[in-house]
Amino acid sequence: MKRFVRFACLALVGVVALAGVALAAKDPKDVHVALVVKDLTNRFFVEMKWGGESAGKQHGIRVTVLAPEKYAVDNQIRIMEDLIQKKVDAIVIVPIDGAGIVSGIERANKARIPVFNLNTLATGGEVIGFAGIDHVQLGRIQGQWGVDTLKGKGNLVILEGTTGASSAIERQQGVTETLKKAPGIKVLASTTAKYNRQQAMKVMEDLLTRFPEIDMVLCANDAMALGAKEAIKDARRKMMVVGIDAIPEALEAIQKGEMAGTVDSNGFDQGFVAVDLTAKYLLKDQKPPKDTLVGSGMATVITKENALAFDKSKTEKFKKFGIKVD
Amino acid sequence: MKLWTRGLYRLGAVAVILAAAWILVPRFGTESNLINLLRQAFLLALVATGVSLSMLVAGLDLSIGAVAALSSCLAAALIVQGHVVLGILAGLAVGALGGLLNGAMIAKLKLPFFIMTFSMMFIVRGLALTYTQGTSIHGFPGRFTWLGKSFVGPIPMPVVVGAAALGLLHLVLTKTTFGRITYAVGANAEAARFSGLAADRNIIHVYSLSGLLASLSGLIYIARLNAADADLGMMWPLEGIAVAVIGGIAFSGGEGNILGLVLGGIVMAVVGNCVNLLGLPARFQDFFIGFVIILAVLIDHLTQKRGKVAK
Amino acid sequence: MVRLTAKLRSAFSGPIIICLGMIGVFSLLSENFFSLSNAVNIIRQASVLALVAFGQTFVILLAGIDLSVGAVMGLTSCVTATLMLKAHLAPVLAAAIGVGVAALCGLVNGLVHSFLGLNPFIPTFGMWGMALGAALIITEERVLTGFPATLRVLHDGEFLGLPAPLLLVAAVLLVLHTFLKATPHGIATYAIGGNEGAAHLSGIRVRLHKTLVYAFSGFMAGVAGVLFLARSNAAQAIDTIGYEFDSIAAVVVGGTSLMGGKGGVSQTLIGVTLIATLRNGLNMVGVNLYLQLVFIGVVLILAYVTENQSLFHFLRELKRRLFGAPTSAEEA
Repeated sequence: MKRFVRFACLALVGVVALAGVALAAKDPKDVHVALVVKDLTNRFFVEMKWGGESAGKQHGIRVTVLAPEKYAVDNQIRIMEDLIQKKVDAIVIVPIDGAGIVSGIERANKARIPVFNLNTLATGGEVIGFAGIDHVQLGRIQGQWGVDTLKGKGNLVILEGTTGASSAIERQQGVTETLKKAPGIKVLASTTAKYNRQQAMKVMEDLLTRFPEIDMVLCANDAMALGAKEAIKDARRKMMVVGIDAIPEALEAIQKGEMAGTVDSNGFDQGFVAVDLTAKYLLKDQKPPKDTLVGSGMATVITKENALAFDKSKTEKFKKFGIKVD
Repeated sequence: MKLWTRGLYRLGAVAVILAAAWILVPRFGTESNLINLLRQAFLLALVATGVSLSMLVAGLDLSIGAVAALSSCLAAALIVQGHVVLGILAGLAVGALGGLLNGAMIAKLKLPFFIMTFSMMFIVRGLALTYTQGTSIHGFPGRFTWLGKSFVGPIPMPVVVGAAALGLLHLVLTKTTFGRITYAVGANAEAARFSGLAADRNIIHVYSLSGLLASLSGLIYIARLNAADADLGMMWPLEGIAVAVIGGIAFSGGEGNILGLVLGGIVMAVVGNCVNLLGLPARFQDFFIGFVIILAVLIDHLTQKRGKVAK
Repeated sequence: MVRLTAKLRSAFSGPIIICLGMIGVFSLLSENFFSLSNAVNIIRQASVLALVAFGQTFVILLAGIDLSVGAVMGLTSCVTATLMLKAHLAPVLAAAIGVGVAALCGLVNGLVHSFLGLNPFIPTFGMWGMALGAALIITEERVLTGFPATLRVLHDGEFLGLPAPLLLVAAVLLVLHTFLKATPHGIATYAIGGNEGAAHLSGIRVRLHKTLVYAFSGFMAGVAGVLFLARSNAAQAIDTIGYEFDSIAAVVVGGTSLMGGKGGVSQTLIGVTLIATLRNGLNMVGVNLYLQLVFIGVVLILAYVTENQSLFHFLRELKRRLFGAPTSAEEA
């Protein structure tokens, strides 16, 4: 009886595993590039995934996109190690932390797998190139629009991203840079809401209690902006809320007048450029430039005037590459 | 009598904390802030009920966050299409079902609660993420967001719903046979069984209730946020344990009551609120919570019979 | 012949069979899974968890639990990093102090539990909060980087062709296993877990022993924290949160009973190997990220069930509920 039980469990494990395979990606192409992003629950990285896959389709290579299930650089290292075992041809990495990922990159170097660095700069290891958007520039765009719209005078509150994340630090840098140049703008508070919608709602609630007069809220990403606008709506207060990333939900909110604007961080192009350069390196031996700057899809803040047009142009772009948007 | 003493000590401590905050923290005592505080406290207490119930039977339900996420995502899918009542019922049903599975495996298969609820957490969270593929479901009709955003006079709806649920739970725990069996099972499951009490069935009911309350909490949260994400409730098990411990619920089972839960919720809410109002960096919040937990435990210990050796 | 199969059967516990089964299935489905370099890969990935889980094993053998290890690991890595960066201490010294802090946390846990008589959930949970808070305050919620890379050899280095973490874990395993099975103090640990009252009557200084065990768990969490620092080359307070639950799962799945008195570190190693192999295999086969979570949960339950033979009860209960009349007498 005992032996039967053990075999039964073995069989069960086997069935479970086979079921997993049936759902796993299967694609018999020769060249395999893996794109490792920070977090696939974030629309920004989903668009980056689409960009990478589109570039892959253009070159006819196989592209797999992975992200850790826990938002920690240690898990990204584990993914890289497993990719090395899978003998992928190249890895495009968006590090959760630039210094933390170094041991993963070095391991790939040892295994002679080329690594392309995307979006967040890694501080060590050998990479064949870097591409990214300038987060500081995104912050500047947002900050400058705030100053211009308030005509140089007003009360501002800033919701920052996860403390210590390079994108958060750089976006904050860009915002404070531009705000400093406008002496009439007063920053009442600058605090973190960890890039999280629920956290932003809670923090905004308390900020509304602290400050009876707020003119504008600058958020380092759209998720926080959406949380903040909900708190503002509930408190029946009125102020302008600006985010970054231009996710569809934010564009909708802008058109409805619940958000004032957002900045496009162009995840799609970043993913596309990175995989494109990597593919060219693998297939045609073309060494990528050391630094490639990917521009924002729109060099200004997207507001009610152009939100619909922007959304449409994006959907058109996705359709061109055969991507179905919900 | 002993229970009352501990309750009074807690009440006293909470009153002191509130008074200190009133005096020291600017704008703490404003009407809008107190209403926010009340809402937050009851939300936290509601989240903690599932954990507390399972703690009463000397267990622990680690899956509450994941269950809330799955049930609210499934409910949200129906609600955005206009089926509000159906969505709510579906969400609650999923929660109760998840809890039922937990309870059955724990009671009947003698799976340790840790392994069962821990694995359940993975499974359910994975299902929620697979279902939404990381996207958020947003844009609920007013007929639903009413649950999170409306007011009864000056009192926010979440407080009304939370108070009703907690009040009902309190009655059930103190006045019904089910409640008495729950405390008995928690104090000593084997003894309960030998005296003929249907301990296994009780455990199943407790965990089912835990799942149901988790999904109720989830529904209120998404009504407030006006969006459902699969990463809802990531910190709920730990937050819930904190509220329960501060509120006097014992890990060893058989001790604690609903009033303690509410007080625990108030304390947690006050700490978070003060940290924000004072403009302190978020990291101080964790430290204060740890400190308050130790304080609460000390209070319990000082009012306890000496020499009680825990498991 | 019967005796031989019986011996074989008892040597191969449920989790081992599941592990072997998984290895078989993954090897079939992924061409690169079954290789020496992947095995080394898995060992490296499992080493941090193994160290924490060894400490947790001791605590669970006492019928206790240590919820603080994840946060204590993080505290150690943050303290070590801070000492290297701000106080410019030599890496080895900084690491030693970091581990010392961890042991101190464990000691506090042990004292509160043994001498104040509180359920171990409570002090270790409170310690979780305070260690996390302390780590966040020390690092000001930032990620610490830029310290000397000396410690990285612990994770990336190789001696005699074998990866350093493997040697570390093997050495620790050997020492601890011998300690538990062959020394009076080790056996006393089992005795306390099995029946605390009886252990006390037989002259074991129970409270002292329990305190030291919790201090040891803290110590192991500290060592794991240093290895984690070596692996990620960066210190952030929240990175190690989650290891407390993983370590408990590894211990329980491996075969050590939560009631205490049964199990050991070699069983825990099996539990750790099972979890690490599962994670690696799912990645190698390319299972959807979110679906991986579901698989992990299911396998954990299966592993526990087969370890304890309660599948029997399940089959019997199932049969009884489907076909027979329910009885009021529950089975122990």
